[in-house]
Amino acid sequence: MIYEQIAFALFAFITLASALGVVLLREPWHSALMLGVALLSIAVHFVMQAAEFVAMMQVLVYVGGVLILITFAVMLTEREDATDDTETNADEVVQT
Amino acid sequence: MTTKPRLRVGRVLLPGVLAVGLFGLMALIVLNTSFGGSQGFPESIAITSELGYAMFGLEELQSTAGSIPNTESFLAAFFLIAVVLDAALDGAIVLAKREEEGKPVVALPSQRDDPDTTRSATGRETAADGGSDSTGSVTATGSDADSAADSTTAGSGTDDTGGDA
Amino acid sequence: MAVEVQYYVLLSMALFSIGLFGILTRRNALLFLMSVELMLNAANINLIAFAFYHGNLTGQVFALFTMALAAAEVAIGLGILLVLYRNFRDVDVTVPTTMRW
Repeated sequence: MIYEQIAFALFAFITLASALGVVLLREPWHSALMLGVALLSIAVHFVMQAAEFVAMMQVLVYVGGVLILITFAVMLTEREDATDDTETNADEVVQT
Repeated sequence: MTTKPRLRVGRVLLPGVLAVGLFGLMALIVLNTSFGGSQGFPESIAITSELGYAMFGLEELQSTAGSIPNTESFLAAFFLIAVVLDAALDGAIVLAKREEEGKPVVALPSQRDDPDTTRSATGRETAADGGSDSTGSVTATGSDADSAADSTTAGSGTDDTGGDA
Repeated sequence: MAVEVQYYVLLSMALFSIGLFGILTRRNALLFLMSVELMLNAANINLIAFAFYHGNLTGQVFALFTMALAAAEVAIGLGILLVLYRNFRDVDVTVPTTMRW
C-alpha cells in the first residue's frame, strides 16, 4: 500500500530530525526530550515491521526506564551557573 | 527557567565530514545490494508467544505446526543477560554509594588516606585527580563548556606532577 | 507490499551516523550516553527489519536482548557520570585526565 510508504517516510523523517536534535541542541535537557521523541518514533517503526512486542518493550524499557534515568542524571548534574547567555562574555567572566 | 532551544554548532566540521562520509559509504553499499522482497510472517500465528518459546528454549512448543520455522533457542543467552543485569545492578550500587558504616566513601578514590578529598574544609573546589585545583577554574566552569575545558586542561598540565595539595 | 528492507537499513545507518557524530562532537558525558542509545537503536532497527525480511524471529529475540544490555549500560554509565560530577563538579569528559596517555 502507498500508505505504508507514506507512514514510513513520515516517521523516518521524525526519527532522523529528532536524532539530529539530540546531538545538536545545546541544553542536555532538550536533548533528553528529543531522545524521547526519537525512541517513540522508532517504536512506530517496530510496529510497522510486525514486532509489536518489541515495540511495547521499547516504550516500556527505553522511554519508561532509560529516559527517566537520563532525566535524573540531567537534573542531578546541572551546573550551578547553567545560563548559556554568558557565552558572549565568557572571557570577561574568566578574567575578572 | 525554561529556555528556548538553541542549536550548538561550530567546530564540528571534521567529525561531521567523517560521519557523513561513513553514511555515504554504507548507503553506497546498501543501494548496490539487491534485496528481494520481505518474506514476512504468516497471518495465523501469535508472534509474542513464539518470542517467548524462542527466548526460553521451549522447543517442543516451538516446533508445533503452524509456528515459525528456523527460529533458534536463546536460553543460554537469556541467562547470560540475567547475570549481566545483576552485575550492572551491583556496579551501579558500588558507584553510587556515598557512605559506609557512617563514614563517607568516594568511589574510585585517588588518595587512600584522605577519604573526603572531594570537599575540603576551606570550601575550595578540589578535584580528586588530575583536574586543576586553582580557584580560577571555578569561574571558568560556569562559562561555556569549551573555553572552560580548555582552561582547565591547560591549567592541569602545569601542576600534574605536584598532584593535589 | 510493505516498505522494502533497504530503506530500513538506510534509516538505521543514518541513525548510527548521527549517534557517531554526537559522540565525536559533544563533550558532555550525558550526550555520550544519549548518542550511544541512538546507535543501539539503529542496531535494533536493523535486527527487526531483517527478522521481518527473513521471516523468523531470531532478530526480534536478539533485539530484546540488546534492550536489556542497553538498560544495564545506562545504569553503569549514569553511576560513572554521577561519580564524575561528584569529583569534578562538571560532566565534561575532557576534564579528567589522570588515565590519559
